[in-house]
Amino acid sequence: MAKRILYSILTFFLVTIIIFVIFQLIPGNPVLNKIGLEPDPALEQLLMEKYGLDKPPLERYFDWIINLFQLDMGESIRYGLPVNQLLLDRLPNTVGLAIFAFILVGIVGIPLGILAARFNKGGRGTLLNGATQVGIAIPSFFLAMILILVFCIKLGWLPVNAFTTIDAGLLPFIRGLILPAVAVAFSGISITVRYVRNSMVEELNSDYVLAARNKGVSEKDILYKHVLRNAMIPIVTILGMIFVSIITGSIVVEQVFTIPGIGALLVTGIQNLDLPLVQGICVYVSIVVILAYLLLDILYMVIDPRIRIKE
Amino acid sequence: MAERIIEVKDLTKTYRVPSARLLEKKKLFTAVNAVNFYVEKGETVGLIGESGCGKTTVGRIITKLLDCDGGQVIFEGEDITRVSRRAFKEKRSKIQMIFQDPSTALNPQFTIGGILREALHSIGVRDKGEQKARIDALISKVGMTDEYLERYPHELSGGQKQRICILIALLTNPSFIVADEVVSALDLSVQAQILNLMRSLQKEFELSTLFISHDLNIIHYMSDRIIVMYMGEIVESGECQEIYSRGRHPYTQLLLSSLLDLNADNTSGEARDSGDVIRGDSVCIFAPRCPNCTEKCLREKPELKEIGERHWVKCHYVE
Amino acid sequence: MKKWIALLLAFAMVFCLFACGGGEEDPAAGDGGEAEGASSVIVGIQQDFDSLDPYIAQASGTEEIMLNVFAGLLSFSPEGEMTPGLAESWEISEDGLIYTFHLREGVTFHDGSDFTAADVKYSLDRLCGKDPDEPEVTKATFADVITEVVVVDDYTVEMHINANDASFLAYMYVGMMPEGSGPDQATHPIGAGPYMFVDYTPGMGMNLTKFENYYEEGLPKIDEVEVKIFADMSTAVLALSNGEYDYMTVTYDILEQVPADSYVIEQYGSNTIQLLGLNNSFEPFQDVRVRQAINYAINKDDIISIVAPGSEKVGSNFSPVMGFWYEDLSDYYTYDPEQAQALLAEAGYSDLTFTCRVASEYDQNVDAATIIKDQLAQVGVTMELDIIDWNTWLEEVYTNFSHEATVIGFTGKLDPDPVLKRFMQGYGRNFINFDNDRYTEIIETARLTNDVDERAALYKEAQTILAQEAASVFIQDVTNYVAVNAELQGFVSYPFTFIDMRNWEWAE
Repeated sequence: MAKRILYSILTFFLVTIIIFVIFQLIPGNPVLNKIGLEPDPALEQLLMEKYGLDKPPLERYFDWIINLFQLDMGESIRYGLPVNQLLLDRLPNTVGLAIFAFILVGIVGIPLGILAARFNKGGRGTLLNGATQVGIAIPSFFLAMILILVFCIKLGWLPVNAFTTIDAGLLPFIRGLILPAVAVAFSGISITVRYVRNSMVEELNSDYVLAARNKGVSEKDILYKHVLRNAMIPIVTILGMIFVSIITGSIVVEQVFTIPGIGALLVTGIQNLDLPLVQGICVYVSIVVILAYLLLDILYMVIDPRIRIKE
Repeated sequence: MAERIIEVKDLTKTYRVPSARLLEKKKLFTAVNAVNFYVEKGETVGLIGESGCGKTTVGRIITKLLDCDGGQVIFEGEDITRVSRRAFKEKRSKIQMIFQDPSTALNPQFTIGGILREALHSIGVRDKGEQKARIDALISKVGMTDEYLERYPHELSGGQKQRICILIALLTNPSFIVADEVVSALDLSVQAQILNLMRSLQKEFELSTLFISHDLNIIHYMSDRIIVMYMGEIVESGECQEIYSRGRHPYTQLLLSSLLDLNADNTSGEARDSGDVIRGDSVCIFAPRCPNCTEKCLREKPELKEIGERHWVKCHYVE
Repeated sequence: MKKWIALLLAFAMVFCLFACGGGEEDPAAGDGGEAEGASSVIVGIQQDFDSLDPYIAQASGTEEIMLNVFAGLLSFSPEGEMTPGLAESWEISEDGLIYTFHLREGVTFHDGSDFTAADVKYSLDRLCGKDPDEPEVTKATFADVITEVVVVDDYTVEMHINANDASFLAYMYVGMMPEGSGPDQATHPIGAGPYMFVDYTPGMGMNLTKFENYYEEGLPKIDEVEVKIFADMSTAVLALSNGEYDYMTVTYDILEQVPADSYVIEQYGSNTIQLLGLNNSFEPFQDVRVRQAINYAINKDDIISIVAPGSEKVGSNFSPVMGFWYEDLSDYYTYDPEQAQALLAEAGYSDLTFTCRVASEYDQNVDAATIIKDQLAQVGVTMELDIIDWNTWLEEVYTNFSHEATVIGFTGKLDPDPVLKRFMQGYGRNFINFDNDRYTEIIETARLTNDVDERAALYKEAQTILAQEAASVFIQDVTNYVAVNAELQGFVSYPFTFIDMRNWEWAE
């Protein structure tokens, strides 16, 4: 466990270095971007100094690291606001979206997967196979547009600009996240259905299932009490895959639905060459990933008694 | 004639096997080919054959874990071949299977106690007190104590797990047990213990058993009668000692002479490909491997002939 | 069993959210936005604000909204003329070095404080970077020019500038702010404009409310304005067609998706000149004949009809909306491919090849460049397209002048000087390397010329030079298209990025 944390930290530093280097190599600089087409040499000089852009790269990087240890991620060049504040302001939106999407994956993906395992053979099986393939392949942007066309324009159930921040109330917040969450979760749901189905079908061929049948245990009980719990173990593994699909999906979906989240912030940061902002997001993502892996480990221990005893 | 607890008539099971070549239709693979035998009340019949001969399939059909494609299974005088799940529910507890690999036969998620209680639950024993009573009554009989009830399967040794499997089988008061390679996955030292345990339990509970194995010595040790299977067909059957010392079918003789190590899967590849084994109503199933094969063997399928008291052989050239 | 119940409950919950949500909001086109007696308008913009503080903000997208929150000493008319704002009148000294402004009395800021000369001094000092607490608040156009601001009395202010500059007045539309309010402006802007700032959610939008004590009688009319930012144009168009915006700038290619029965498309010259910039230092382009040839080879009408139909063709870096200062040179170079080829042959560049760099973010420029490439091919000129991103363009093309040609558009200004000075020698961003002594002389002289007619004549000559010397190929003043709710009246357009909300009102 300790080793894993150490590796995570090393990876984190490596990523920040890579991002930093890439930003040095990209042509253009954030001050020019901020000033735009009306040159102002005095202002340019001031801003360069303010953001430390006149210093050599190595010094800038270490300055940033040192500040990081004091929990100060600097000021966003584009917004002129502290990066901490920008991230914290946007966090609830992205987290809300991600949680909503995860819940959807859970309550839709898992039951569908179980259903698919029961009706595995024949026409229904191939149909589901095809459907999940499409679900994984469909780009979230395209899906988002279709959702808008169907639910906002054609059916009129929701306005296109449905999103509100959580300050305006929990219910409107959730309501504004319905379509975005579906768009984000779609790919994750498809992955889940496939894996649950495969995992369960595999387990259904196990001896203990035969043994249970031998005892006259009902098919339903076999499915839920025996097979499901064993089948869930490899599913915990793909939770990582789902997690990634939600994170990447949300970046695009946030843009489409104009949700001021971390994803949208990242896009803006890159467009404006706002290094402090992008680095700040990198820190946030790293922390999330590390926590996620920790959670995964704990989940494994809860689900599989074999691992529990070992630890 | 003693009462027959299980009788199998013309039992057949075929599988569709995808062909090796792309566009060819799936071939039909006959795992069990019109097999006939019976088990009398109180006796242990040993079913021996190499991997892929269909013995496990027979076992699973009898316990209704698998459907057959032809023939009948008669239990205690009743035809249970096509009976529905619901109708079979009562009888089910009377026919129990003990599986080969105790590691996979026990759900790793459940404690031993949990598995046992579930078994009792499914036959209607739902009261906790009674469950405990039943378990306590039997647990010492398999040589274990109730401290194991709170453990998980992976905490037990192979032998201990198999004892539990036996216990599970006994829980529902069965009259007939199918023991499918029950010691194959265990260490040699443990095998003897389990076999002896089974023998004593058979006596105590008056169990009839179909004992499936590929090991002739074990079969000889455990059985009253022996049935030899090859490629889905019975080629010889008879009293245990008779077969063991005077087995007449060329295949049986091959087994006896220990020329074949039945444990090895070296024939399984060929077994799957029905192209190598010539099947048909006009060919002896053993012809390709028989040292005594003649032209007649390839032309005419031999019938099962009684050549001695309860001693049957399926060969043209055995008297 | 439990799982199915859970699923059913979840779906029921979701359904409820849809249902109860539907009751709250009514996306209404033609509804007039009237709710509980308060009138409101929803404006859609694509660019997020870069700063709420007008002295820090650089983006024109920010300015077009914030000009409703702030009022300046001067205002401007739809024709681009400077008009009285917070200053009722003004005088300029003989030498043009002292401007005296007479302020309107009885004006209050949003925070209730009175507007006096002290506020003007505070505001301008801050703009000149003289506020020791906020050194980075500085705008060169003020800092380089203003030497001193003097408070004569409560309602009279003098500004001393370091050199006669006829364009100085045009900068005085900049918003005035209450004394000492500088540091908080970025979080809560306070001005004297028709609308007060309510709140701002970065990435989402801003709410404005009517300022009851606005100095112009009877204005504004609409009570609430909600400015919503959209990140994706395609989604925004869908929202528009769903009636979720009352006012939104659109592009030509999506015009057909705007519902014709509920929206009116306002069209006007945006005072943005789109040009094919030719780097005069690039060897072939050093010869004026080559530059002229390129001008002859390009069919501007074709470009206009595809990129932004209805736009005005131009012949120099100046738009017809500038009216008084404008010299019509749009037909100086008619479309004449034969003449183009003749000139090229004469100059010895019949197989001219060059690369044109365009920023990918601006569809109109990319599209124009593509069309130009085809047109030039027909006279034997090969133009390679190098599509780059905006940041690369800013650094390489605009700062380092590392290009042979480029397509770009410049948003216009109220005064000719900032527009035409771009091609002066010595100007930090003279990216076409235009090297003409007379041109530079004109621009410098015009700055010192206070007589408007004389000044106009000078600027017209400057424009003519740009055309004669074929400094570049000046294509069009790109038309702006705005979708406005058919029931919303009071739309006014300016030669400037300004969404004027003062006169909006809902039809009865």
